[in-house]
Amino acid sequence: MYSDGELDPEQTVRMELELREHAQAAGCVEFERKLRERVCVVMTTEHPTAPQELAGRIRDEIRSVDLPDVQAPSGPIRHLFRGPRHANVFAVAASLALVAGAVLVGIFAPPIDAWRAGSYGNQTRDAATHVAQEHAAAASAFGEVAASGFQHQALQTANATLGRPFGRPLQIAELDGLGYEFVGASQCEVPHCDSACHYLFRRSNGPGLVSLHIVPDRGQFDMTEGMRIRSLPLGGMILPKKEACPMEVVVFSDGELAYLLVVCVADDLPQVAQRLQENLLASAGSP
Amino acid sequence: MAVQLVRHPDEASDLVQETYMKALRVAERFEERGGGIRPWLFKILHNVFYTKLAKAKRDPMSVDELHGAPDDSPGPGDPSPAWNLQSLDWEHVDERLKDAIDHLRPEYRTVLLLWGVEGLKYREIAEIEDIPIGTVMSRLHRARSILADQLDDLAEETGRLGG
Repeated sequence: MYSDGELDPEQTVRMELELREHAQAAGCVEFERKLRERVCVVMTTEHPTAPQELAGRIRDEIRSVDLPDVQAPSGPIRHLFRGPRHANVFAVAASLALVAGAVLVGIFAPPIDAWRAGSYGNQTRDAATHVAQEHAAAASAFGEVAASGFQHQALQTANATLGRPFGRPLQIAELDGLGYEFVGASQCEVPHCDSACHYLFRRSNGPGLVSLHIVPDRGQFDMTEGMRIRSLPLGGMILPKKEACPMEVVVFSDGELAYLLVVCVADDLPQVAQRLQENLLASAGSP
Repeated sequence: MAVQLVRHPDEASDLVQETYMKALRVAERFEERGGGIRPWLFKILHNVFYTKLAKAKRDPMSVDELHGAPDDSPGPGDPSPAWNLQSLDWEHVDERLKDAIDHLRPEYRTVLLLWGVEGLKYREIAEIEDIPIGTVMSRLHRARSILADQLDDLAEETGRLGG
């Protein structure tokens, strides 16, 4: 249960203390972690994505069906039905096609809930504030962040699996050379983004975290909102701390995906951003 | 998940299509429980698959086999397999692992997929499969034990060959 992230925080801490005392048990945990990683790779490699024509078939069938009049359902699916009370056929078809597309690449995005407008009332600041607040919350947990709380504890698996909603593997670099070890990665929610994932790294020596959120780049971020960065290979901007946004956030894009980066140790920010962007460029150039 | 259930890409596409159509028809029944829409869709897919299977009594797994096959996998009370496979080369286990997964019973493979690939929690898997959480844990334990046994064999073979 520990390796599956099923224990509560107190139990997790107790288990980690026990594992430090018992090497064999720690070995079992490590085995299960590696087994999970390989199972994920094997099962996703065999059938990475759904056939292209399947989404089209589903859309066509949705359009051909006489839909019953339905009350707008509760929960997040209500936002897929744009009409006030009765399902508009075209809206439903379009919405379900969007849902189909997301699920067909394997991982469905978290529910698109009714986002409250952030302190700034704009998408860029809302997203930046959200990721900065998440980062600050993680950093305030005395630096003790449990890897078991993440869906993926191996970078390679995270890159392969979390890339599925985006239609391609992610190319997030190791930061070991900069003194940061990978903690974990999971799907998450970011305001105004229909899918998102979160990677967390921590300093090997001493406190300090790196948070990287990845979302589809649909032009939702105003890149003139912050200070432009000219020295990085992919450029980007820095959104300074402001009111509800407790940390600087660097935002950059590779043309398809947008990346929101938060680093506790300000001195490390340039190298971390450089390393991440260089890896993205190098991966884009690879066959 | 559909491919893992039906083991055939075309049938998997049909299964996914039926799942979406059913989801559309029963959309008003969806209730948000904190896990989003994904577990709900998986549950519909699971139900559609097993309903078709029960009706058609098709290969690769009949209903009788599905529910009553003798279980020769290690149980919770059995000695644990050699989890500490220090000599195992993880870079070269995928073929053996794939073969072992292909030979798992569907209910073990499904739980393994939902746990290992989709990253779902026990509770979510239990809701999708409509089984108790304890059964989820049991099936997951057995699936992992079977895979570990296969890897244990691989480690032994590798050791004997000196590779």
